[in-house]
Amino acid sequence: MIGYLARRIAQSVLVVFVVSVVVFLMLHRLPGGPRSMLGKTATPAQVAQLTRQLGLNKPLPVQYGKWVSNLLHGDWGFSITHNQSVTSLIGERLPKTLLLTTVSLAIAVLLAIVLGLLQAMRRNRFIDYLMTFISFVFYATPTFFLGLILVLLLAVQVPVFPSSAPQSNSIAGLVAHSNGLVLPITTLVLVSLALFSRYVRSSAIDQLTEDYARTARAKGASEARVLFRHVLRNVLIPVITLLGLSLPWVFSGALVVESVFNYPGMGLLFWQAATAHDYPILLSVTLVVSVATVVGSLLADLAYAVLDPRVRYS
Amino acid sequence: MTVQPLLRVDDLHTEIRLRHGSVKAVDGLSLDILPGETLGVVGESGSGKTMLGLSIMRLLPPGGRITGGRILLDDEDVVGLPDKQMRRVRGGKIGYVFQDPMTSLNPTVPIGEQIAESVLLHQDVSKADARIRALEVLEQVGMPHAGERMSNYPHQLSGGLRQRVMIAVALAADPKLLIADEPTTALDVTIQEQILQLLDELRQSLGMAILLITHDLGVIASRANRVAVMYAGRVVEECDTASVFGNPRHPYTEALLAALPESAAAAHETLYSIPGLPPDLTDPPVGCRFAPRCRYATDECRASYPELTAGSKHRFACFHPTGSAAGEAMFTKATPVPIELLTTAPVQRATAEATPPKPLLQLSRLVKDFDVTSGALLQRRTGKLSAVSDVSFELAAGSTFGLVGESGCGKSTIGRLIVGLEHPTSGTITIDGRDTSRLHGRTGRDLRTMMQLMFQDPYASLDPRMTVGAIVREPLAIQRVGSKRDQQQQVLKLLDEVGLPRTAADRYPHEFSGGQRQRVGLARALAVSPKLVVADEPVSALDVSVQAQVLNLMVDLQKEHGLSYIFISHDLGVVRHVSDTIGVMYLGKLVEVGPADDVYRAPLHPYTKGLLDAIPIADPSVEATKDRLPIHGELPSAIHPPTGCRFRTRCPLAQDICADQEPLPVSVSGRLVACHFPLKVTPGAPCADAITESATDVLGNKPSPTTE
Repeated sequence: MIGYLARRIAQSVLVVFVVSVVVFLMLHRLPGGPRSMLGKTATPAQVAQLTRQLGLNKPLPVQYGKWVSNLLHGDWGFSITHNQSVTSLIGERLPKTLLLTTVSLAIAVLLAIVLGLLQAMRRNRFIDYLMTFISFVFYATPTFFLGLILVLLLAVQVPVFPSSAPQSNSIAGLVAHSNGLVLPITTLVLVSLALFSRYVRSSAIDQLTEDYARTARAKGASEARVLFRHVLRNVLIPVITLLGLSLPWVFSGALVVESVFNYPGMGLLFWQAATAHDYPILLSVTLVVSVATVVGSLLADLAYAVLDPRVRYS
Repeated sequence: MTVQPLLRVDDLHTEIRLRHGSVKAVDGLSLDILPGETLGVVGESGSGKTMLGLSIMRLLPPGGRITGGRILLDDEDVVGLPDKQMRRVRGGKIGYVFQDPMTSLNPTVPIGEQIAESVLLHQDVSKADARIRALEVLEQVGMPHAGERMSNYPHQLSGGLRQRVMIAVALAADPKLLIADEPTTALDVTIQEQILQLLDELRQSLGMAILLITHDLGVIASRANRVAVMYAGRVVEECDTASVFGNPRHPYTEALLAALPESAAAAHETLYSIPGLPPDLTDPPVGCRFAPRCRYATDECRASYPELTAGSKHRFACFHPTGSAAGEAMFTKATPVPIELLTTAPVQRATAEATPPKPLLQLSRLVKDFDVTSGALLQRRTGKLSAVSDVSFELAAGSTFGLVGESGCGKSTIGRLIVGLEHPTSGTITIDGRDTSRLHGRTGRDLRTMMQLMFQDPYASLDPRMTVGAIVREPLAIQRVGSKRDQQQQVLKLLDEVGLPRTAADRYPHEFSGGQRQRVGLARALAVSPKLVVADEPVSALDVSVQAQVLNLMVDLQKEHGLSYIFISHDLGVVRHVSDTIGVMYLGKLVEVGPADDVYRAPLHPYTKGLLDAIPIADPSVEATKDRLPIHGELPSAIHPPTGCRFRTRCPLAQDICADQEPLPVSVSGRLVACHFPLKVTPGAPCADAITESATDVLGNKPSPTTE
């Protein structure tokens, strides 16, 4: 277990390093530099001096080292469009996106487990086909379109929920106006439900026909006991991995949902930065999402190890 | 009948609905199980024996249902019981031991909890008390260090120990009947012996009855009080064990016994094989179901079904019974091992060397270690698994070398080394005078055609998306033998040779039965006209009757083409039948090599003797007279093999010297044995004085002391 943990953490560090190099190289290739900063009238000597001042004449690895050091010290650059440091922007937006995605994911997974198990128990019956049909319709609908339909139905025609998210600066403020979160969260849940429920369904169908499930029945266990005591845990093991791997997909969903509902998170930030060519923000968000994905799959693997003794004791 | 049966199955019909029609898996079956007895149900795959067990538990697979008949447990019909009451029966009154202990236990729940669950479901006790009871049962089934094992997960235990856990799960709630469905099929013979012994002891001490379902006539002969033989969903014969084996009345029983390799009078003699295949049970024939394959069948047999004879003790369903009604044994099978002293003057292998001029294959001091790695990023080598350790033997052209041993002994690794799928760590493999390890590229490929591999699993070893013709042609295409037309001609010729219709070339593997698929595997192996075929467990996935067909074919083709075989198997009976020479392996070492019959009749190495004793023979009279030298415990790890003799940890004769010094192969009575205390050639009474012949290894060289 310790060896497994150490191995996974080492792999994660390596991936984060590679990601940071890629982001750094992208930053390096961007247009701009001393020439454009100083304008057309600057003399070559002035350009050279600024280049020296900014350290741009140093070899690439040294520049990379300095960049990483700056990152670690909280200097992520400055956004001209927001007139704010990137660090403070991300510090403000990240928790909001985390709130949106974790709540949506948690609801989606819980619903998917219930739905998937129900479908597995009633497989190839009417209820199974119906659930499959509905979840696939949501899965196949583009996120922005689903968001707009929900707005049309539940905010315009029957005004139950507000059409846009609360614009508070704090998490507490967002939670206080939680009815504004209903539509964005519902959208994210509906589009990701099928991804998980299909998985739970097929995994549960497999597990229910496994020999150990038959052994449990031969002991005299009821079908409900077989399902919850024996099968569920084995079903969850692959689902946990899927959860880790779905993080980039969930972020892309959040990006669309945030712009549809004007939700002040990382997705909206990224979207606005992309339209305004605000590179420091784009790259920083890329870096944060990449690291989050790596950490997410690391956490998924750890959860996997906790659930599966075959991993834990090897 | 004076004793009230514990379980009475009366005219049971079980069907399994498929997409097209339904399989009548059990079709009018009746039998009784008395309290405290072991009833053996024996039959080939598809005979419905497992469906019988699952019907009694009402745990039929999806689509399966009982369509008629009664199952009376203590006079209560379980067929109509509501689910809630049925759950009291499952586990509470009837315990069930499944075949594969690997998959039949929940991988994510500690074993103690799995056993305690049985108690909690049936007895009104606290969790703590259930745990105490679980520990008690775990000790009862002979789990070493039971207390510490309670919190283990199944994957941390070996196969034999897992099966003990499975038995504990079944026994925890004190059932009156234990259904054991192929309880030892997934286990090695020495472990099988231990598990069967355990079941027998538990039956006696707990006074329960056992329904022992198996395909293995030997297991039945050694353990059952009564036997029911099943064929195509029905019982065809039922009586006490001695009568069924000694005086089989149904031609199917007779044929099954005759098809066993042990029944052949001499090695290489053609085995009796039952022609054809069992009937399709979606549309069973009207008459006797065995009639199409029966050598005594008449029109009467094909027109109407013979009912089981009523009343008499020995029941059978046949119009033309074999054997004798009076009951004396007509069918005498292999009698107990005759006491036969082999020549006392040891024949040195070295002197006999003059006769065979040049062996086809020579293995010399072959070693194969696999690295065991661990570590975070850089996989450090932390140890080695010694799969094959200093193995030498040779094989004359046109003969068969049988390699036997339990799983993990390295026999398959040797096969893979010979055909070049693995590279030896050290030592040489010489075929036709050329060292295979030094050949690469073109010459290496030429050499490949001399050796071909035949696999164990006829289902997994054929590509399901290729036609049989393409499968057999592929080796020819790879070796670029002739034009495409020539190759296709060759494929048809090969299909003729292995006894498959030419139309098979355009069909896919799933359209064939297991035995037919093994024929395809043999045709593929023979495509490039090899001199040597390495057959790795070629018949162990097949039923007895089909096994005989494939073995006969292999022996015929050997005679015809002058083939040599390396025949790898865990089944000593099969190996003895096909082999000229047998090599017995244990944990990477070759412990005994000698002529097949000698090794079989009078083993020299205690391991060979133990292995032979553990194999159940399909003859109750032999089973009763067996003078056993049982092998205890489990196979040690090959990562840290025991010092000295690797077998010493399980050897009943081991002494201090066995731990200190590795026994070198010595020549005794024309055989090689690596043991400090080889057995005398008289069966039974082991001899404790070491035979100190001058040590000579297979190649006639004095072996150098092994470095430790």
